[in-house]
Amino acid sequence: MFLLLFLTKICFSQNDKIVVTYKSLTLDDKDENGCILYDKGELVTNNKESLYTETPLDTIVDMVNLGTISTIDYKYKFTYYKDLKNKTILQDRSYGMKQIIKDDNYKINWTITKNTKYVLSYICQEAVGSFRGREYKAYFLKDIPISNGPFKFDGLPGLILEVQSTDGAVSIVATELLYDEGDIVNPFINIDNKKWTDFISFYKKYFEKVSNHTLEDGLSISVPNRYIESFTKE
Amino acid sequence: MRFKIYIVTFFLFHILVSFSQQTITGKVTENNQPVPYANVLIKKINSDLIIQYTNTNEEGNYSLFFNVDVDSIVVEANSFNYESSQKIIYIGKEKKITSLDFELSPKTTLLKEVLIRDKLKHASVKKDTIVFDPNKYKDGTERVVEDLLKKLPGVKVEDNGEIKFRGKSIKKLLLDGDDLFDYQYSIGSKNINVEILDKVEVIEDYNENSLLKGIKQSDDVALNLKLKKGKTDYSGNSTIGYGIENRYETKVTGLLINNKTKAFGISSYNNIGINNSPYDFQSEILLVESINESDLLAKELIKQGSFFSNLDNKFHRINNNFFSSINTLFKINKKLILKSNFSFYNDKLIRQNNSSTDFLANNESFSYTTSESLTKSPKIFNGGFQLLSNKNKNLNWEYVGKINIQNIEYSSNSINNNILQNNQVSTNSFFTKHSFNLTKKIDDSKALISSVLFSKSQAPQNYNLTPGISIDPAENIISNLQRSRFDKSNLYFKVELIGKINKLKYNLKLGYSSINNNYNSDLTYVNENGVIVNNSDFKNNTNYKYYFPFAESTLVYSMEKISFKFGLGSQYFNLQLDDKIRNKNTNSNNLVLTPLIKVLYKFSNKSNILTSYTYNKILPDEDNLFEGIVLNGYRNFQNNEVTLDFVKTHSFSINYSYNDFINLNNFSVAFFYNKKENNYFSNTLINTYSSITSKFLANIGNQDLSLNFSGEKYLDFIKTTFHMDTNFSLSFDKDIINNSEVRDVESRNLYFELIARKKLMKKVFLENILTYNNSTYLTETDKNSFNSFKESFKSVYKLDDNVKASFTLHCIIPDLSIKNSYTFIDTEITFTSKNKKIDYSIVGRNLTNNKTFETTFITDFSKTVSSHNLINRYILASVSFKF
Repeated sequence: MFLLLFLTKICFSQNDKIVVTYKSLTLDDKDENGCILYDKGELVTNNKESLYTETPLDTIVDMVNLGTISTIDYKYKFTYYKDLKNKTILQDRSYGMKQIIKDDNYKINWTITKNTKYVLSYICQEAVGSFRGREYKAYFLKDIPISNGPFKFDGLPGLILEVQSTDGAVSIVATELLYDEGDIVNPFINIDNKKWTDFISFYKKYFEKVSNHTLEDGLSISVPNRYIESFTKE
Repeated sequence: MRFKIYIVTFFLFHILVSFSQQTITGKVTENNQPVPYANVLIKKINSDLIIQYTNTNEEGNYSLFFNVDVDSIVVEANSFNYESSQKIIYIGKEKKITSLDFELSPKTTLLKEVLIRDKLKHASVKKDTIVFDPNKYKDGTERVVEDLLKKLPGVKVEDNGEIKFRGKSIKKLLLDGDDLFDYQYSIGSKNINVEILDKVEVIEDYNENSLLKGIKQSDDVALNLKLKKGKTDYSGNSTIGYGIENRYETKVTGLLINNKTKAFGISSYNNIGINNSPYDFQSEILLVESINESDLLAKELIKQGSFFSNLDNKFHRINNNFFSSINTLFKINKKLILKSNFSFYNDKLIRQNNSSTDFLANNESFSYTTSESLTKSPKIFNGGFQLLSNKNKNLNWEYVGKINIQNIEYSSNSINNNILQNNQVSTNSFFTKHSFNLTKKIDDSKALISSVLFSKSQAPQNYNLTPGISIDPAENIISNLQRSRFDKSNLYFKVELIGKINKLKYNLKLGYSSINNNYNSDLTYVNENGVIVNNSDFKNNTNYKYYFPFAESTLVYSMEKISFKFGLGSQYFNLQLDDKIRNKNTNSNNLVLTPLIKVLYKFSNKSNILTSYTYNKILPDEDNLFEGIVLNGYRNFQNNEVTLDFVKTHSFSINYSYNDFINLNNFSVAFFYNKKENNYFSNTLINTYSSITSKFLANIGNQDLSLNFSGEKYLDFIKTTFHMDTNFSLSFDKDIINNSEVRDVESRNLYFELIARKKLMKKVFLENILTYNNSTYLTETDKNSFNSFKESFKSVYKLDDNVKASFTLHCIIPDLSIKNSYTFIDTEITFTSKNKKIDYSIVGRNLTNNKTFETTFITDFSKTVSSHNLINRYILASVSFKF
């Protein structure tokens, strides 16, 4: 691992935005319904709205319960549009539902701690909170006063550059931070969407269906009941 | 006492934290305009740590409730694109509400831009090779390579030891890049100690020839086990089992590895129907090794018993099998490697066959019965050598040599229509093959391969039949001696240019091949007067040789949705057949052009369609070219009407497949159509005493077509997975029976299989397989048909990681019109010790103790009910150790 540091002087105008690149690894092997996701996350944000996209990175991982999974042939790009004022997310990662999902109940009650950590050579402060089945430590940078972060993580007095779940399963770490200009456009405008609760009931049904599917020699398929967020417990 | 202390502590804590509860409210503005969603933070003086925070609302107002243990704090208001504003306030110790407004101004700032690069540390990918570091995947319980491979991403190890990477069976398991095991790699993966591994590499697009990497397209995958430098190791495995009554199973394997030498040995004996060797004398199915060599081997005409059964080998293979083999690899120097294989196989297969046949054709009908008690004792010695230099930059070469010596002693007592006959067949075959390959890499997109191959094979057979038979049923024969011997030699060389230009891959081949066949046979018999008769009608001395220069080209062009493959082969054949007994000399020249076209179209990631068409001209085989009659079984004679014409074939296929993992649906439909413009037909003379088959090539076409459907669907409301396979085939053929006209024969075959699988509470697995088969033969006058039915039920109980039990029940009705049925019950219990070094198992096989098994076969002119014996019920206990 090596670091390259630059110092740049930039002036801001009204349509400034920040582009953060994250490496997002979810490796949950507690049981056979865990998962592996290894994504490049890109957050384009100002203090009103943001777009977060996930594209797969190559990896091959071995796990006790899930066995061996390679993401090398994965090809996808998922987008989360977040309206910071109204606290809603529109996402097209629908895990088989093939609908735009509207998530408006993702608020995390953070507790700030005294711990700090260097992320991208910035000193970031720690906050802890729980979100959909996991406990997290988040590291935010107060010097960028945007209450946003990767995935659905936000609500801290600064941009979140790193998120670690205390069970060791989720790790999202910023790898690059850039200032940019331009507007952020909602790609899901005028597209019908489903409520988060509708998605959860869809996924629970799907999960049950797949879990009972039996192959030769008693092998069964296991699908995750949780990725970063759990779909079976709120 | 303890209770009291807790209460005291709780109160102290409460007092400490409650003394400084405070609230700050205010407004954040810019030029008297509210700043919504600005952060308001509280910090201690001289600290950058945030203690509490909030956001302003749409109107710029905020309210912040907090606890601190100091008198003064810093309150900061900031927002994106604004300079932050800080104020220090004194809060005191009383509970109060402080009002604090902020005025923010747009900002200019310095910021650091950071770029971090990070990489995967457990596995890395270099072009088409994935490298795993074993230490990152081990948990300390692994002993042999297989244990580790199971943990590597994408790798799956099947029960039989077959290794798959992303669903595809691997081609080779290499040790430090060396191919020690060839097709028997599972012996290596199950025995090599994991501690000597440094890295495991998965090579996709594996080319055995390193110089062709990236030039020649290959779908093969190989695993390479990189060993720690300078490690020497010996590892092994042994199994011992004893069963009631008189069943044995023993096996010992060992591996030696050091930096100069690699060696692997196995020795095994059993009489429970297991075959650890790559050789098989029971079925007609070609082994992987023999498929590549089938064109080079001398044929054998005299039959040595039928071991066919509709049942699994474990029920009916009555054997006495000994197999021993040693593979070694020795590095002479950095570039030169010598490899060798020696193996010895010895078996004794025993079988009792009974049959009764009803003949019905051309308004003629009769029946005959046969019975056969046979013993087949094959012995094989196989020796292989390979010298190769394959570590060069531009020029690689290898020499491969092989010798295979087989002796099969076959003895049977047959009863053909109440006459007891003794059959003795002895076959001593010899095969040797030598090839030399040279590869020259021209540049990164082109390479030239040249190969020379020489092989020689012979298979002399002697057949004694007492009392003998004659073509004339009236004649009484005391004994027959049939000698039959094929000899075959092959010389072949070729030069091949392979390369690629962008999306186009090409392959051009030029070469020459020359094959020389000899067939010698004669049948002598002693008649009832003691006179030895030797007739030239029963003699062959033919020489069949042919040579052909050839040129072939293949082009593959791939785009995102569609890919094409075109091929064109051209061969110019010169055939010469010399029948020395009948003094016939035939010559034929033939230019053969064989086109091929394949198109693959992908509708989406889920579905695609593949179509192909090929045209081929097949030259006559040496066993279609002898005219003299040969006795090849205790009631069978065979000869040919000889011609050097080629068989012309057209093949067409279309296959659609659909795979939707999310909705758990997958199915494929395939259609095949084959047409022959001309074909070999049988003219059979059959009576209760013998049958004489004469094959001839006629310009009468035949065709066949088949339709397959295979699909899988999970039904949620009964929580069961269903898998269905059906095949329907239809063929239009011709034959001649007992001097009839050429008869049209239509045959129809329907096969249907339905599998249902269900899991109960993760520990019990149930599977039910239902099979139905219908065969029908139709001629103008007759119809022959039969139906069979099979049902098997399997359940597996996994008590925990160490104990596993299974129970299998088979019900078979071989012919629904006869309605006799069979029930087989099998059980198996395995217990594994905690350190996984020792396995104990108990197997119960054929617990219902069936003694024989009866099946029905039909042809267009006969129906045969045949039965054979089975391995008696046994219970076997075994222990196996890893060392």
